[in-house]
Amino acid sequence: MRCEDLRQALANYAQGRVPVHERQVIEAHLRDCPACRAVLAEMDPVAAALVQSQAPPIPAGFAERAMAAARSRIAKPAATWNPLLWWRTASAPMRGAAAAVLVVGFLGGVMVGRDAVRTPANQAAGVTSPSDPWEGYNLDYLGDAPEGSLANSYLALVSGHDGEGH
Amino acid sequence: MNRVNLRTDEDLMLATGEGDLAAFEQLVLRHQNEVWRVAYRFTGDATEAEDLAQEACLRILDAAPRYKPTAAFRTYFYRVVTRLCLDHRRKKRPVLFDLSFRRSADESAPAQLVERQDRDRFIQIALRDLPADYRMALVLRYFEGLSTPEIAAAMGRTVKAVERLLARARETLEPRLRPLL
Repeated sequence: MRCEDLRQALANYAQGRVPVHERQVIEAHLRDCPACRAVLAEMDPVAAALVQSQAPPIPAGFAERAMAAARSRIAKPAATWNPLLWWRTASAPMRGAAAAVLVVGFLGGVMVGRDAVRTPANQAAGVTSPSDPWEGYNLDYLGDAPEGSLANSYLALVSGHDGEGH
Repeated sequence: MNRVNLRTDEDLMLATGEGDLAAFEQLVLRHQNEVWRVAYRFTGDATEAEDLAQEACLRILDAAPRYKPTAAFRTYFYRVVTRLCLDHRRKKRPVLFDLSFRRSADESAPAQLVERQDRDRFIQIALRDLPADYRMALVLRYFEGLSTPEIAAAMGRTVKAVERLLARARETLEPRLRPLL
């Protein structure tokens, strides 16, 4: 490539508007031509500096190793589902649908939970939440649990009683 | 010429989604240089770059069954590797030096080679000290030759945001590169 030809393409090059094969030709010329680099430096000094660097070649056998990893991944039984990975790779409508399902599920859970606490007996008494867990959660059937048992400890925990009805 | 070579990236990706590993291999062969280069320029470390580049390939393989050719594969591919690099950087501190930046141990190495190694090392260190999003924007622009809209698509930003990012990145990097100008 001649310097005159290259200089006509420099503005597009600096804007990332040249195809890959043309960019490689331009960069090869720029690395060896301080005069053209100086012209580029006036437009974009960072481009003129960075074009002097060449990344080392890709390590030999990279594609073979990547394919071996791919075969190994495919050979595995159905991989465990990764919600984070799914979220990153899902399309925007899929993400929106998933978010809507979560919100609806959460709100539904809250509504159902509130209804469950409002038992008919509580509603008649104008009570909206159980003040006594023995009544609110019908724990009477655990009243005969032997002292020191897990059920007895649980009753003591939720009621604040000592497990013997005190 | 092998018939598979005539297929577009998008066709190969769709075939990969149907379980055609030969199509996936073709994609890897076509894009291995780009994926490795982005990872290497971003991390400054050949070992990390290989791990990241391989993981990017596997993510593309995993996502292939859900791939819709609404955008160019190239855009999709850069988005995968860009996100992977940025996520990786959030989790890990950068390495200080890579063996490939060291001067050749061979005392008789030509002065030109030593000079090139020093220049590459100098540039990579200047890049390494930048914030991760500045560095990624510069890598995509100057080493990959992406346009501003392409960088925006890869980084999940708006075009205006990328313009501002590139302007700040250039402003930060330029004084550090002055010895090369």
